[in-house]
Amino acid sequence: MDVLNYILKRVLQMIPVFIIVTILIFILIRAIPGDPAMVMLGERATPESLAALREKLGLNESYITQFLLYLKGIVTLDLGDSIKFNMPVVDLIFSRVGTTIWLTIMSTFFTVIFSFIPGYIAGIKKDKIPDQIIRLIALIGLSVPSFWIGLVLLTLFAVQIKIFPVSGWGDTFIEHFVGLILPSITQAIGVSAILIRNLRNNVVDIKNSDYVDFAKSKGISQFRISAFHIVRNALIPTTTLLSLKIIAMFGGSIVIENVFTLPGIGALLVNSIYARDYAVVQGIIIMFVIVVMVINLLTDIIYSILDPRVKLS
Amino acid sequence: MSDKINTGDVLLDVKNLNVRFYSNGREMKAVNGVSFNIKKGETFGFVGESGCGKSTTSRAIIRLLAENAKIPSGEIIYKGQDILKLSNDKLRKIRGKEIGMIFQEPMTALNPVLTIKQQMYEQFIGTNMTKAQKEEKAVEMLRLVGIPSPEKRLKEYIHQFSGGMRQRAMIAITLAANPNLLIADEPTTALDVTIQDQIIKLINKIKDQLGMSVLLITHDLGVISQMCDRVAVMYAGYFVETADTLTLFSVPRHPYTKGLIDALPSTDKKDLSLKPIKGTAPSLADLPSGCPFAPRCPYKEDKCDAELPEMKEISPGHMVRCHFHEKLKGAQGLISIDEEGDNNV
Repeated sequence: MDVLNYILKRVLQMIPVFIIVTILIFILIRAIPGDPAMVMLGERATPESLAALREKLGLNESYITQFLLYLKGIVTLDLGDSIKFNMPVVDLIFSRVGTTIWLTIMSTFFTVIFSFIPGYIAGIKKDKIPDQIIRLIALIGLSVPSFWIGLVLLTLFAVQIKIFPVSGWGDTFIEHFVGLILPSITQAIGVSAILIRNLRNNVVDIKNSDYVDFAKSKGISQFRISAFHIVRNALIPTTTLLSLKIIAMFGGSIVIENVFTLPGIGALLVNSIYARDYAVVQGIIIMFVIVVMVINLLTDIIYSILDPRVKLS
Repeated sequence: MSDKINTGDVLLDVKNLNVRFYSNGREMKAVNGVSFNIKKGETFGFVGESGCGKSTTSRAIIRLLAENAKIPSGEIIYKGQDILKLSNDKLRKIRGKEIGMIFQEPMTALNPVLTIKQQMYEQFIGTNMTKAQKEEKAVEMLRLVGIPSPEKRLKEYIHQFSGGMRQRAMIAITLAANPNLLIADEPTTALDVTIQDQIIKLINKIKDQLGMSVLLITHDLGVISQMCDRVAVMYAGYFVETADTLTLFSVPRHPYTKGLIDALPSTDKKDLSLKPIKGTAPSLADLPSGCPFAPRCPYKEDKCDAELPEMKEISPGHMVRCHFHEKLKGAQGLISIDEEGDNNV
């Protein structure tokens, strides 16, 4: 019941934030210099077609009317049509967002695999050889840009050893899965490096804490001490960081989807910006805002479950 | 060592214990040749200033030392076996069930994200208690330490308790395993005075009720006087004086002990100003070759710098590490008793 109340309260709090963001998007799109109709149709467009497009985009209305129409569009899930694809923006986004969601889920999965165990080992073996090696690898992962890691992985595993496709994500579920492995590993490497450092430092602090000593003084097994007293507590701050990184990875799809030519939101956004397909750009930004707010809410709920000191209120 | 006051069976016998810490290539002599024993049902106290090795000595008993600590020599005989020679598995059976420990600050010594129940139930791992028995025992322990509505509080977290209740909860968790020896490392230091008094009375009561022995670590002579049968005064990792509590307070024979007693504020004294011991304790990485207290000692002579005094038994059960303890003969402690009568009280 507590949780439901909390969610309701948070959703209500989101509304003003969402309105402010939509206003910002509206202003930013209109602040781009030049006549959108002219940019879209090119310099050799006839005055008639320009006028028709302006009429269609509602550019002849006052800003207030435009804004109200825009708000109405958001509420009724009608964000206009894409000029380039000639289909409703909402449909276009829904057809592409699946790829990006799967990419983010798999990236998160690989991030957890790559960071939790090494981070724990590095913390337990502080300043010893395993810690030195893990920290060095993490530093490399942190320093190298992700698009470069992507290109190296492509060269190695798609071009040289042909295990993975060079681009695209095929048609079947299996092909989708295989096609997403390299991009998600690419995303995971950079993020894991940050999480490893965070988890390592948490483990170092906690393994010398009084409550771990107290647990030891009770004569319980080393496994129990690690699992219930060290890992359990060390993961609390790391989980929060991970959720921030999930948001970052969702945004990072802009780079990764272009490197691996995946048909996701990130690639769509870049293409739409090039094509001055403003309705699509606007729609994607609104969707990003919603995703960020939802993940933030989930993070706070998970955090309160992991740490009973945090009250949902 | 004979002792007229307490002649019970010896539960724990520590012989010539040494502990060293290593950091940045330096060796710190944290505990130096410490020997003592604790008898069944007895409360033994360590007193000394911060960093004198009293906590380290007590933690060494269950080998709960930092990674950079080494125990180069010594024996810790508990029920006929040397704890220092036990395998890790056997050590785990001693920890908790035989020797339990409570810490200074319950807020940091209890895991903040586990309930009191979860942390108490860890004491029941390996027993064949049923769920109902565990529940019953847990409630009984909270009741024993005086926590109201124990059924409800069992499901709570440590941050939901007040200061005194936190310490009670930790005591309940430790005692749930029925240890024969309770190591209490500054159990009252983090508490305010009225709560302090309650906790002291609680530990005394439970000790008698359960027939436990207690090893109490404190820097507070007042706590010692309220709780301990025998006391060891520590300085720079050495025992400098051991005696039964009454003897120690009435006829201290080590200049450091006398200094500690003189430094106590007292309303009985005509002079109300505090009398601190001048100077500071030596670094454990760089102990003087002679008596460690010599640089601060008002009775110092040349011999003190040259030669470390041995622990000498000056009367039954009263041992002092001082070349010139005779000089303190007749010195006044807190309690005035005839010098001749002190051991027969």
